[in-house]
Formats: sequence, structure tokens, C-alpha cells
Amino acid sequence: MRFLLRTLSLSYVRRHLAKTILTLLGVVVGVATFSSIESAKGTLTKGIRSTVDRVAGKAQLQISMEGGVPEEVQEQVRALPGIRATSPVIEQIVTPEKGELGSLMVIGIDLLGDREMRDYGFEGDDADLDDPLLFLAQPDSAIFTRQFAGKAGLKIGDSIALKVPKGVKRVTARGLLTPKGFAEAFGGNLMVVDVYAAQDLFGRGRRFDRIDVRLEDGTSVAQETATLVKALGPAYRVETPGKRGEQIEKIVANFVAGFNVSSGFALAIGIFLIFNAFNVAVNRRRRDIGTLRALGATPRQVQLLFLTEALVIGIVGGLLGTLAGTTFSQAFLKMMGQTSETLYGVTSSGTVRLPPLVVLQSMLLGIVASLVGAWGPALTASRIPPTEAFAKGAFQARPPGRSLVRVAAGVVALGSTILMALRPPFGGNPFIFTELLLGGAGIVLLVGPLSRLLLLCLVPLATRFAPVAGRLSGDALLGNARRTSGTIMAMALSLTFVLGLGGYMGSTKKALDHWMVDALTCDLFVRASANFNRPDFLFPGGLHDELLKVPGVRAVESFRATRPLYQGHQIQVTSIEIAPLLERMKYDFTQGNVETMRRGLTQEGKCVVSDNFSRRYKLGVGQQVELAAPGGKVRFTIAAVVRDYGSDQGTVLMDRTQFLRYWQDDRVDIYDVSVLPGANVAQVRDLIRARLAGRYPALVSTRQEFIAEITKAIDAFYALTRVTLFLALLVAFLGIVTALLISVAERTREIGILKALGALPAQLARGIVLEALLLALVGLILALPAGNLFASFMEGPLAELFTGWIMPHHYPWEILLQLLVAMPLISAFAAWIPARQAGRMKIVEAIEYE
Amino acid sequence: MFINKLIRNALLGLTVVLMSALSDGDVFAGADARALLKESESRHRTKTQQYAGELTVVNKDGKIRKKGWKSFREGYSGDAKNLIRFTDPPEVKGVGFLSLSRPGGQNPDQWLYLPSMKRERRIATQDRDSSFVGTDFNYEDMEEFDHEKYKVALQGEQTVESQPCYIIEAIPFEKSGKSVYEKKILFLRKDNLYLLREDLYRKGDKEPSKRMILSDLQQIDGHWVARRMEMKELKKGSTTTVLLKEIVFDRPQAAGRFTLQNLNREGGD
Amino acid sequence: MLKLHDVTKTYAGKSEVKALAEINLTIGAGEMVAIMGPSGSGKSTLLNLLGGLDVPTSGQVVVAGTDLAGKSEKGRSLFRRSKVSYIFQAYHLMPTLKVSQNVALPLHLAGMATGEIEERVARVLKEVGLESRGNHLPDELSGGERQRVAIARALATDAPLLLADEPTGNLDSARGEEILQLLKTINRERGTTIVIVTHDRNAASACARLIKLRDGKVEGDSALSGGAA
Repeated sequence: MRFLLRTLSLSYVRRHLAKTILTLLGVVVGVATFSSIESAKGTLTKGIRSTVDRVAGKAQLQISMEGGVPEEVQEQVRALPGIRATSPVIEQIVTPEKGELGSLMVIGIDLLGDREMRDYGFEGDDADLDDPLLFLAQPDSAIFTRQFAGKAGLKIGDSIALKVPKGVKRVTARGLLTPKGFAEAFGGNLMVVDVYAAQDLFGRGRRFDRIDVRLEDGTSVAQETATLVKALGPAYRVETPGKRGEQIEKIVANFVAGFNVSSGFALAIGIFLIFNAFNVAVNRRRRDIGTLRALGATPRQVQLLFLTEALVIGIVGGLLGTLAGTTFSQAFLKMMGQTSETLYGVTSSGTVRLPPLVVLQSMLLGIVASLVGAWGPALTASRIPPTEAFAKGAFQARPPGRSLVRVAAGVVALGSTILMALRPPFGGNPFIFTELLLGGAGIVLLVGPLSRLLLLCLVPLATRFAPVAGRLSGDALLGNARRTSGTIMAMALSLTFVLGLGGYMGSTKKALDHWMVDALTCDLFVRASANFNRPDFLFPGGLHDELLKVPGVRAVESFRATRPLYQGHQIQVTSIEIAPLLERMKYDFTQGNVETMRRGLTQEGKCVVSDNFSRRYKLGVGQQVELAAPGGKVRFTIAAVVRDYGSDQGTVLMDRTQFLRYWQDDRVDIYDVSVLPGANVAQVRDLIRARLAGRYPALVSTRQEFIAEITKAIDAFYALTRVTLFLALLVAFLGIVTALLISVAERTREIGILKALGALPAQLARGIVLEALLLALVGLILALPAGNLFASFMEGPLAELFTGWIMPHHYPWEILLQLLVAMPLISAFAAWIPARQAGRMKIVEAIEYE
Repeated sequence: MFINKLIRNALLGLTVVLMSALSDGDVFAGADARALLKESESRHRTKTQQYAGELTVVNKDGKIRKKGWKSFREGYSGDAKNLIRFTDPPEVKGVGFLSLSRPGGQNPDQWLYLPSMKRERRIATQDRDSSFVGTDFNYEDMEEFDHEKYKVALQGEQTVESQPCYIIEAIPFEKSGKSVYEKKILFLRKDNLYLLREDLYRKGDKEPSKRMILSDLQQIDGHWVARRMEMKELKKGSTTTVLLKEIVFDRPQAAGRFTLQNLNREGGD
Repeated sequence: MLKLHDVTKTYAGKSEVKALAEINLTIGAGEMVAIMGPSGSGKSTLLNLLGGLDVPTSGQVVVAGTDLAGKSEKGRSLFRRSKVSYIFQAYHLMPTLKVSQNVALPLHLAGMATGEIEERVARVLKEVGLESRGNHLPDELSGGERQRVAIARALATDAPLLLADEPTGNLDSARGEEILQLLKTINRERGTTIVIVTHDRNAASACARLIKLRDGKVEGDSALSGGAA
């Protein structure tokens, strides 16, 4: 075997270097994507976890509340028995103006008394905190880790510009931390400020993000947790840093899991590439294999030969892929980190470490993918009869048998998929998995027969327009049914993916666009934070009156959104002055009407819930929603159900007076400003900007600007989906290329004869291009209904399962149009290499080939 | 009148007996220590005191930081109210510290005011061992010594700076507010019962962690006062010195000086 | 050596094709036999059956004491390895392997030790007169030389049966004659049973016996003088 590998395989590789490299690339890309995503994922979650742990220091419990913990809670907690020390914390991630320094984690702590909680590593004395009094007295004071200071070239007394919500702000290094324990959090990109300075810097009002608690010796965590929960009420969360880290890790892991789809897709492409490459190779080496068999090679030896080749490719590809992965992983980490930062306010900085487990997994994956891809072709090779060595005629493929059973099974699978989607018998991931599996199986089973049927209709049609090319391509496609249906299957699945995902994206966007036009009806939006999901700043409530005084302003409403947990899900509780809002906003009511809403919210202290909230928690008009407010649980009766896309987990809307009453927090996310009739909106905007400048974040946008910004944010959210779409198209393209390459290789002799009979290279090329076009067309035709089904599934049952929304279906005409333009181009391009190969073929060699 | 005095003496005697029973120490030494400290307090008690302080912190590497403050005090020992306002350098000007004694031997209320935040922050019990604005004093050291918060015992005599002194051991009562220290060793000058030195033992320490030395004694307005106060962190090797200038005793203090409102008033003395 | 009893081979397709019909044939050890016949007479099918490349639809094929009809794919592979060697019209050398590597190929397949392989390869290359060409690629050789490499490859395994499919088909008459002489020498000196399928009268005349096939049946079986020469 070693001899065969060393001689036969190696020489094949040498002669078909480009193809071998392409095959190898398939594995490399797949493995690199996997390993980079895995290691970035690992680094991200581990980084977040260790940051949480390190920042927690000696804290045994952490108290937090959506919207922040009011300052006075600290005194309340300190007075409780069993508490040794408490320390307030504010955490925020900012970016230095010099972006290359990476994100910086700002931790606001009470330096007066924090030593009970965290180890500072000032090397035993205050020498590094140059002057504690100066630090406290100057609001721009910050302590940096030595690591970061070194990177940024900071010495004590130097200042550095940071992008904070209020704008760019300079802070001065007044102390340096030695990298140990606490200072190693967030990869050392750490900045410590006074917690009260942080309140001001990040619009926290008189609140902290959390209070860290250290217990007296002899007090148990469970016991004290109970004491705290009892004392503080249901709105507060009391948890150990470990639990908190775990929870954050879980949230981030959930989000990062989305990347697994891409990773899986990349790997599938790798397998597909290997499958194709080996198919080509087996076809090219048919005669050699026949000779080997005649010389006494057993089928197993032949199979083993190809599998060993695959193994070598798998190992080399896995190794290269893992190596390549380390370079991509940093980029992935950055991308994931940024998203997890905007969505959850947590991220990890620093460099990706490649854990040995991921290396092992990646290598194994490369090998397994390679073997899986090569398995079929290797089996085919082993079944090549030794008489092939003597065969003088062309290789004849056997038509696939038992198409009736196949079609029936396919119809059953697809039918049950649709039935299950209409009436889900069970929910959650098993449901999705079953649906995808059944649907995929249905398509795989049906594609072969259906594509044959389509081709039988299409080929005569093509022949009428291009007699020679039509017949040539028809023969090629119908002559080897298995190859054809394999290619079309890959194409149809990819295009189904494209149309389905694209259709879903389109529908979602359309629904959101529609809603935005209805919902965003004032002239100017004065926002405190650019981050929609996790505000990094809130306006004080008093700004309302000040804005009202700006010339040209007619009305101002104060919008506030908090994201408390409701039955374990992070819903959104929003509040605004309802009466003026109803004057300008048109709600789409699912239950109730404008009157019940107006009366219910302004007079009866009720709330309105979004349609997805109603669906998710099965609550309607007249029923009650129980929310945890700082003072205890509050029950709100539902006055109406409206369509709202504010949160995918559900939204509860109430009048501002109710929120102020129960939550005791007058801070505001967005001021909705309406201008006087005839006033110049841009002018008013500039006036407001000028008034806020330096004091608050001045994110003032007109309606159009705001809608554009939201649209951009939504688009960014779908960026990953777009990458997946691109990968799907790539599969389609590669599928056509390799299918045509095999087709040309298999018909070498035929092509030679045609040439001998006077066929021009251009005629041959046209035939091959037509072949490609037919493949693409059939793939697309099959993908149309399948894609539609897929999209409906995602918009309907899937969306409802995860968000409670049912998106109105919108057919992805624009994607279809794009495909109709792109597919012929892509397939023509894909035909280029094989066509050239066919054109260049030397007649004598070609005829001698068989 | 006589009866009253008799009862009081009897009660005092009873207390001494009780206390000595509890402390299982030298009965007379215990009684002597308390009496000495009482005597010391009554001798040096003043209605008010104010001065301008010159603060110098020298760290173990010899690096020097200097600050200036003004200090105002009303009352003495267990009923003292104290306001400190930094005057120098300009970057820290306006930073204020207010300490108000509380009855029953509880820890005093303490606040630090930072002009940049325009608000005060309360010093919590847990922070009593934190350095007072980077000096070698902690927040507990910023309290006036009140012997009633300690179990005291006379340990002997020793000469300090060529002055014969009583050595008194003071162990904080746990019930009246927490202390940072396990014990304090006081050195009281025999002739005028003025405190010359204090050795401070942090919890669990066998050697003194800190040492305060009062020197440059002068009589001003008929009151003894040390013009120089020095606190050494013995392990760290850093020293904080306060030089007292412009000392004035018993000048009536402005009404509302020792309030939070005044502390939070920009530049409020 | 070779015994065919009532051997029939039909190929399934749109219409059934009977390639061989109830053939009975015996070839003794050490014989050198030519099989001739027009296209479609069943020559190649017969050769495939003799070499264990294919199995008959019915009947018995006994080669060197082994009944091939009942053998599995693997069994027949192992049988081929040790008992049969081939020479093809188009040589079927691996174009990427050197001459010596081509010759060594079946020995490697059989799992022979490297030292023995080297020795054998050298020996058979010398036997066919190509000892100086061991390090060349097949492309660098003439047609006659290539066929000699194929013969060397066939000899390497010391198989008792050598099947040749049009061994001179691609060669001019002079080269063809050389190859035939070589085969005769092998037959004589080694005692290898040789069966040659050919169109070439010349090639047939080199053999001692001529079997004529037509429409899947034996049409004639006669002794020739060539074998004696």
C-alpha cells in the first residue's frame, strides 16, 4: 500500500496539482472556518468568564437590577446581618480614540473601600497610585494596567482620549496596576475609575450597575442570598459571580451558536469539494484502476488506496486548516466580540489561544470530512471491474433504479414536513431539527427523478434552438443520471437555502419597515445611546422640560425601555407619555382598539402588550401581566394587543406615570420631539445638538435619519446570513464546475471523435455551456417551491417558536431576479474551464484514451 | 449634695470592681489607667480648636507629597465634631472631610466631599482601615481618642523622648462599633498626661503596625498642644507628618459649620 | 491447466447478447495457444473468463485446479495475483511509474518483501533485455520496449498462466516478431502456459495450437507447426 501511495497517488497528485490543491483547499477552508470559529468562541466565552471572575474579586454575591441599583440600596445592604463588605461597581466597555488599542473595559469602583473586594496589585503600597487624593479630586482620573499603559505609551500624568457616550473625553492616568488577578481581567485592557465619576460619565444617575457583596465568615452564601432577596424584593437579582458568569456565558454561547451554522456549512462545502474531486479522480484513473485490478489488486486494496489518499489530504488539510484558522480566529473574535458587546455589553479582548481540544477536533474533522467525501468515490473505484482494463467502449453508467419507491418516500417526507409545520406536534430544537431533516430528505429523494423529468422536457426545447449543442448537452446530462442529479441536488439545496433565508430576511425587513413608518412618527429623536440593545447612557428626566424650551419645539415625549426578565426571558418594558403619542401614532391592533388603549393606559393604569408577547405567554386583553418592580411585584391588566417589533421576546408598554410610580426611575432613553408647524426640523435639530453638546450624548436624528440607522442596524444583524448565502452560491458554482469537469473527463473519447468529425471548439464549448445552463435552470426550478417552503417555515413556525411573531410572507422576488441574472453568468463562468479543456483536447490522444 | 457624691463614688467603686473582675488584670492598674485617661481628657479638653495643617507624606522610596488643610473642631473626644478642608495644592482645593461623633461609643459618621462630583460620600464601617486620602492615617485614626471605647490597663512606665511616661494598653470594646485595631499602646507623659506616642496593633499582628508620635509640645492659650503629629506605617515604611500652625483654641465656631450642607458647600469652611 | 466445461456467458442489456455458448475446452500445462476469430466472436470474453476477470453465466472454468465460477471477487483477485499474468495490446503501463516500478507493481500488491521485489525485477528485466531501462518512464520507450516491460511485469509474479490480448496489435511486424520470439522463449524455458488472443496470423503461427472462435462457439481447434519451431 505504501508503495502504491508513494508511486501511483503521488504521481497523480504531481500531474493534477491544481486539482489536488483545490481539494486540499476544500478541507482547509472547512477546517479553518471550524477551528477559527471554535477557538474564537472558546476565547470569547472563557474571556468573558474570567473577566467576570477576576472583576468579582473576593465578592461572594452580586446584586443587580435591570436599570441599575439605586445608591441607597448599598446602605440598606450594609445594615443587614452577615455582610462583611459591599462595594458598588459600574462596568462599561469603551473604545480609545486610537482604535488599534482595542476595546477598553472601564470599571468604576469605590476606591475608598474596595480593598475588601479586589486585589489591586499596587505591589503592596500606593506608590503606583501617585496621589490618591488627587485621584479622587479630579474627575478625569483613571488607573490603567501596566500592560495597557505600555501598549498606549502612557505614563502617570499622561492623558488619553476615549470615545464615551458623551463624546470624546480625555482621561488622565493617575495610577498603574500590576497585572495580577483583577488587573488581568479583560485581557489586561482595563481602566479603573471612581464609581461616582463613572456614574456621570455613563449616565447612570445615582445608580450602580451592581453591588458586590462579601460575607462575614460563617455566613453561608445560600443563607445570605435568602436574606438579601427578602430584603430587596423580586426586582433585584442576587447571584454568585460564578452563576452570573455562567449566565453571561450561556447568553453569549447562544448567540455564538449562530456561527455553528456557518462552520457547518463551510465543512459541508469541504466534503462536497472532496467528493467532487475524488469523483473526478476516480473517473480519470478508471483504466489504471482496471489494470491494477487485473494485476491482482483486491477491491479492498483499491478502496483503501483512495481512502488513504483522502486520509493524507485530511491530515494535511486539517493541519493547514488549523494553522490558517488561528489567523482567522482573531478576526472572528473581533466580529463576535463586537456583536456580543453591542448586544450584551460583554466581550473579551486579547488574543485567541488555540486550545488543544479544538486542534484535535479540527484535525479529526478534517480527516472525517475527507473520508466521508471520498467514501463514495472510493467505493465506486473498488467496484470498477478488472475488465475495464480491456474495455474498448465508453464507460456506461447504470441508471439509478427503483425511482418509484424513491419518489413515494420523497413525497411522504416532504408532505409530513409541511404537515408538521402547520401543526407542530412538539417544539424547540427537536422540532426544527426534525423539520430540517425531513424536508432535506424529501428534497434529496425527489430531486433526482424530478430533475430527470425536467431535463426530458427541457432538452428537446434546447435542441430546437441549438441543435448540436442541445443534443450534446442533453446526452451528457441524461447519459449519466447519477452525476446530473447529484449536481442538481447540491444546487437545489443551496438555492433553496438562498431563497429561503433571503425570503425570510425580506419578509422580516418588510414587516419592520412597515412598522417603522407607522411607529416612528415624530420629527426628531434625541437619543442617549447609539446602542439599541443595551444603552450605555440614559438622560436625566429633567431634560424633558429643557428640550421643550428649545425654539421650534412643539412637544416632547420621554421614551424609556428596560429589559427585565419575565418567565426567564428578557422582555422589554417600555413607557412613554401615551396621550400625546396616540395623537400621532397609528397602532395596528390585534386585540382592543385606540379607545381601550387610551383609557386603559392613561386612566386605569393598565398596559398594552405586543402581539408576540401575547402569543408567547398566551395572554390577552383583560388578563394580567405581573412585573417585578423595585418595590415588589406589580400586576398590570392588558388593555390592548398591538403589533410591535420592538423586542423579539415581547414588549409591555405603559404610560410614563405608571413607570415613574413603580420603578422610581425617571431616566430616559429617547426623547421624541415634535416641532411646531412650519419650523425647520434641521434647524431645531442643530439647536438641540448645541444645547446638549458637552453635557450629554448629542445623538439627535431626524425621522429619516433614525429609520436609516435602525435599518442599518438590522442589516448588520443579518450580515452573517448574507455570508451564509454567499457560501451557498459558492457551493452551487463549485458543483457546476466539478460536474462539468467530470462530464468532460468521462466523454474524452466522445469529444475526440466529435472533433475528428469536424466539431469546432466553439461548438463543443457551447454544448458545455448549455449543459451548465440546463443544470442551473433545473436546480433553480426545483429550488423555487422548496425555497418558498423553507421561507414560510422560517417566517411562520420557526419565528413564532423563537419570537412569537408571525411575519407576513413576502416572496423574495428581488432575490429571484438576482438569481435569474446571476445563475446564467455563474454557470457560464463555471463552464469556462471544462469547455477550454474540451476545446484543447488533442484528437489522437482523446480517441486513444479509452 | 454629699449624699450624691457618696453614691457616685460608690458606683464608681462598684464599676471598678466589676471591671477588674472581668479583666482579671491588675485591679489597681486598671483603675489607674482609666483614672489617668479621665484626668488627661479633662485636663486637655477644649471647647474648640482650629489650625492650619501642613501635611507631608513620605513614602518608602522617599517620594514626598505635600498638602495643606484647615481643621476645625468643636467638642472633644467622645463628643467631637471635626471639619477638614484642603487648601493646597490647587488640584485638591475644596476637598472636605467631616466627622461627627455619635453617642454611646458608636463609630462616628464620616463623609468625604469631592468638589468635582459636587457631592459627599459616606465612609462606611468597612472602609475604616482605608487610607485617608493617601496618608498613613486611616479613617479610624481620624477620630478623636475616646477612652470609654476601650478596655484600658496600665502596663508600666517608660521614658519616651526623655520624658517619663505611663504605658497604657487600650483594647477596643467590640460592642461599640468595630475597630481596625486589636489594641493600642498609649504613652502618656507623666507630668501633664499628654499623649506622646501611640503604638497601633492591627488585628492579628504581634508587632505594632503603625506608630503615632506627637512632639513639639507647646502651651497655647493655656492648653498643651503638640505642633507636630507623625504617623508611621511601620511595615510599609512610609510616614505622614502634620505640622500644626495658626492654632487657636476656644474660638466660637460658626453655626452649621459641622453639617453636611456646609461640607457640600463649595469652599465652605 | 485450463478446463472449460459447458461455459456460457451472456450480457444483459436491452437485448440479451450471448457472447459464449456452451464452450468446452481444455488447455494443457505448458501449451502455447492462439485464439483467433472475427470481432464479436467472443475472444475477449473468453480471455476474461480464463483470467478470472469475469465469471461465466453458467458452466465451469477451472484454471490451475481452481474453479473460478464459484469464487468471490476477492478470491478471484487473489487467484489472479498468483496464477495469472496479462499482456495487453495497449501495454497498460502506469505512465507515471518508472519501468522498474511498473514491473514491481503486482509484487507490491501481493505484499512481497522489498528486497525480493528488487531482485525479481532485476531478473525479469534482464530476461526481456531491458536491464538498462529500469529508470525510464514508459513514455521514453519505443512500442516494442513498452510491450517488453509489460511482459516483464507478467513474468515477475512467476504465474503459470500468461494471457496476452493482441500483444503485437500496436507494433510493426519486426517488433511484433521480437515479442513473439520472446513469448516463445518464455514458454519453452519457463514452461509457462500462454494463451494469445489475436487477429494477427503471424502471431497465431508462433503458437503450437490454434483455436478459432465464431459467434461464441469453437469453430476449429488445430495443431500448428509454429510451436515446434
